[in-house]
Amino acid sequence: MTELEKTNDAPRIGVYVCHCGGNISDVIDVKRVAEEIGKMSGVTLSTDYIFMCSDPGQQKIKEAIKAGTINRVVVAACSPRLHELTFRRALTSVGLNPFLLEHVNIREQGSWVHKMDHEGATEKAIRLARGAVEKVRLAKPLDMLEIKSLPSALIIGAGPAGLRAAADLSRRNSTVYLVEKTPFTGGNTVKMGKLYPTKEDAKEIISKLNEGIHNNLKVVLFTNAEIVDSVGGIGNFKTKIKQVSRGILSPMTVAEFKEAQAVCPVEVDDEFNYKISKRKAIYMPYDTAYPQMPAIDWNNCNQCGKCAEVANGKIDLNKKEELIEIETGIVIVATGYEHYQPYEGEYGFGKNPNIITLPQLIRMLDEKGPTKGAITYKGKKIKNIGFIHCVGSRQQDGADSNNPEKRLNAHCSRVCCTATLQAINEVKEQMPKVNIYDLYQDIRTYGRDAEELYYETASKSGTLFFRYNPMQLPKVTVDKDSIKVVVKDLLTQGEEMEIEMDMLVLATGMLPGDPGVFADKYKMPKSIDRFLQEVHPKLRPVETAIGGIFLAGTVQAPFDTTETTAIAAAAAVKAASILEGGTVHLEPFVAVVDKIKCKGHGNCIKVCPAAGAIFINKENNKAEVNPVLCISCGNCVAVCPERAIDVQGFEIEKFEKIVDEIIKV
Amino acid sequence: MKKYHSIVVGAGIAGMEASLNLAAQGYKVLLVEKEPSIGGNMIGLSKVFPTLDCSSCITTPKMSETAHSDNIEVMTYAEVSSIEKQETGFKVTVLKKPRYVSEKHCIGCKKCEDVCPVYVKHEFERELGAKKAVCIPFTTAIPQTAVLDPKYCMQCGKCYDVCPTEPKSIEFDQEPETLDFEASSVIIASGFKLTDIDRKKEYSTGKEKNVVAAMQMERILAPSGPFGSVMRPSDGKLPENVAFILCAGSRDKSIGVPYCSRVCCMYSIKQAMLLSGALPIADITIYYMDIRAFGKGYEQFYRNAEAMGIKFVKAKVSKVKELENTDLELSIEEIETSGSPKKIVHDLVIMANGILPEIDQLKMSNVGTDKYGFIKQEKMKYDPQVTNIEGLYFAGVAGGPKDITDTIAEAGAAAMKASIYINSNK
Repeated sequence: MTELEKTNDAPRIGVYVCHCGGNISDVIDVKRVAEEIGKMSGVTLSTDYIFMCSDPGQQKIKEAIKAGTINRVVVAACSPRLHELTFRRALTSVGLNPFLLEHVNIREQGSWVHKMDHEGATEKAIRLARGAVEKVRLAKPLDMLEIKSLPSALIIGAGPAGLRAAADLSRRNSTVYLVEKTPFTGGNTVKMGKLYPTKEDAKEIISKLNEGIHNNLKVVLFTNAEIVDSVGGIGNFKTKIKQVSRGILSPMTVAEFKEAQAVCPVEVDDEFNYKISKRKAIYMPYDTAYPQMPAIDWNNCNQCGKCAEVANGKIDLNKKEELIEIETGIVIVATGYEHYQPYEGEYGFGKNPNIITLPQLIRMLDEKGPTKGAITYKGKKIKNIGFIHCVGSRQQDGADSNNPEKRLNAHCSRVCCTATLQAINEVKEQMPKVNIYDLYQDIRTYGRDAEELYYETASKSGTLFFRYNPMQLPKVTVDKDSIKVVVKDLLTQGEEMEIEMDMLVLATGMLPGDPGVFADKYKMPKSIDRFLQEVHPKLRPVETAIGGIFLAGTVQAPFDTTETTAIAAAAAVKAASILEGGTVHLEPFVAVVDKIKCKGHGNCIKVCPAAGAIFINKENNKAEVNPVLCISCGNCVAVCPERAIDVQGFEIEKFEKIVDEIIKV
Repeated sequence: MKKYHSIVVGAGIAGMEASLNLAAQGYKVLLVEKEPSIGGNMIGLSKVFPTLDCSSCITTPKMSETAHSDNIEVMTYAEVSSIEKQETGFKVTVLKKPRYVSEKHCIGCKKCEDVCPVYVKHEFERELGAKKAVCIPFTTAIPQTAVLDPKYCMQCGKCYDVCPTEPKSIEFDQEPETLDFEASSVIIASGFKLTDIDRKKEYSTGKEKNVVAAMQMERILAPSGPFGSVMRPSDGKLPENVAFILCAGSRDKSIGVPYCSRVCCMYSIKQAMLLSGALPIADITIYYMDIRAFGKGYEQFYRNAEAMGIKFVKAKVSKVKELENTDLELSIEEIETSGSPKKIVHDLVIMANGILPEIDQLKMSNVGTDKYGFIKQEKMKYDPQVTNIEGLYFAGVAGGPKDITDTIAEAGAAAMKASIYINSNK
């Protein structure tokens, strides 16, 4: 039997009610649902099964189609988000058009939300399934939309995630546009000193990642650049990049750069060292920064021209902005995280210069850093140093309410425990006689070899650990030159301890970074913790709700560098399977205009939220739809005075039938 | 010799995900699994944290997609016996174990299972239930082909007689087969096993009836599990006072597992939440050292468990003793309140067993491992799936304990590495 023959026949509808192990059948009487639906006209088969999504479950559908018993399918199970595709594939595999399937949700919208009302949930399932039967009765075979994809990728952010993804994708013959908002690659990670457990400096790690894009003809790196606009969708994103000139025309010699720095009269806080040092307005954050060229800090340069005078024509102090338009098949968002910044007075921060953040301490520990590895304390020797974990992370209502932003960061930042202990060991190595106090909630050294780090810190370094209750945070009192910390230590049955410290380090966590204009343009969804959200943490962990846009790294959640680069490669492989094939298949649920009825009023255009998805064809004065851009919202259907537009597969007529069935007495 | 772009060792979530990612790019994959069904450890779980999705709902479609992909060939009940690096690519030898049921002819009708008179302990139910000596491994197994266990089969021939296929699918004369394959790249995703329940003798000698291993608890909580509801093994009583002991097989030098197994805090909290849903009036206590809820949404999940009334007690349990009525007496030192030793009685105790590498499948190649047997990461911080052998990558717990989300990310990454390698040697 050909597909046409199967579908042109009078509808013979097969209904399958899933137990979902017990997720559904513990609440809903699935047998009764199947029985009730079986009574409807045109339903030739109605049954239930423990796991419809399993192979044997799917096999049942396939066999009935092959036998000719059914030519339309209703599956009453979980959310279609989870398994509609699974069942569509089952239909396709035996030659039935996949859009002759209706997947109705009786789990998330049934058994899970009506746990205590078995009778009501069963009744609801029956009504929903009846609606689905009526909808599928009217279903017509549809074809997936086939879209050509450009063989190129846009990657936003050149930290470890962006660099990893760029290197990987370029090695699969895709052209990669890598856009970085600062003048240098490496993101926040590059400042993070020795990374546990390999203890390689983050700068070395970033250098290794830079190698993947250096002299790589497939990667175009835009530094000092940001996305200002983007339209389109999977297969063809049209993105505008604004790049600000670097001020440096060609690579400078070390001597030239040194001299240019020497003559520069501007001194500003160095953000690379978290403001514990100063830099000039012409700068490179560290020796091996990439690209190997200084940059002018336009926000602070006074354009006095002194550096240009000594730089043999290599400096151009006319700030230029260029708009570049690129077209790519996919986009990977790798814009990373921001450090939590303690507010004034939080654990005494800002009241005493020796209360610093962990990132600041890490910069001090860098032998090539601003203090050449020395932990400074205004000339006085440090005898007592304390650390407080979870600053800006794991916050709880009632305890952290002083936060002026009135916003709690409930999430764990994942890396700070290990980073803190690593820092403690470095401090101890440098100053064997120093007393170290560690105030924590839980020590989360979960990573590879990280438990050993905990043992080491506790045993060899002699660090004293105090466990504080997250509802009773340690109290810090600061006077001119002392820091006093009072902590109720749970490890000694809540005894109150007072510790005097010369230095206090706050282990600040990760906050979601600003993913910029691009995320706004596509209304990318955020999780409750304000990081960008994936479709599903296990089924589709690097994909977003918008086709062709992927997530890599800490834009999604806190991760360490190992995890970040793994996720970046995982995003790259998803991108590669689109870019390699060159075609993308999209669901055909797009607006379709009835050319005869349409009078060209244009109401549809006014309500369409997807720019360019619908327009009037000047030649015949009729509306026309660009199916790639249409987001199937149905706004146009609601406002058309002629009822000349409908969403294919979700026609108004079907909704009427569904509603009739649901409200039927 | 049959040639593939990639051979993937292990068809758990890591191996399936890696294979699917390669297949999506048009590469031909041979996926080798030592068990009679694909699905790995994940298919045996009840629900998964932090979304509380049922594990079957996420695993079965991946299994189904894997089995039906035109680019993936699945070989179950087969062990990789050697992986040899050659000038170009790899030579992989696979030992196909006899199933005594024809994969070609069996239609999965389960008639053999119905008539078989021999009951044996069910591995899939972690020995909490029984199965027949010939049976389909579990309801959602792929392939739906029976497997006969010659250790217990008494060769009565009933299964043969009842088998409806022509020719008969029961084949008592099957022999192990050694097969050689070539592949441009290899991905090892051999997964893990858990520490045995009696690894720490102070907690269990293996004989206490109501001391339950973590994976057993998963089966008890699974809607399709061995008991059909939550009850304790010794007498079917509904437990009223349940204890979870964290780090019962990890972070403990005395048992040779000093590392953190990374998932136990979360799976125990999840089990406690499910248990509290099933037995709303039961008291549930989690004894812990540190709660390591570090993934996306995990901390919030932990706080929810606290809000549900699950008790978290920071304490090291020093001993578990079975009482006459099969209840269990825990000797603990409660660190945060009294600091003095205490004895507390619970009627069900669940051990958070630690994670060990599935070493047998690793010895077959010269892949470098750490002192615990997990695959070593040569470029850990910037190209984490890379091993000491060019063209051979790993995904998932074979390279150290990690949760499902992190495993899936690594599987994608390993597929990326393999595809680059395949491409560069075309």
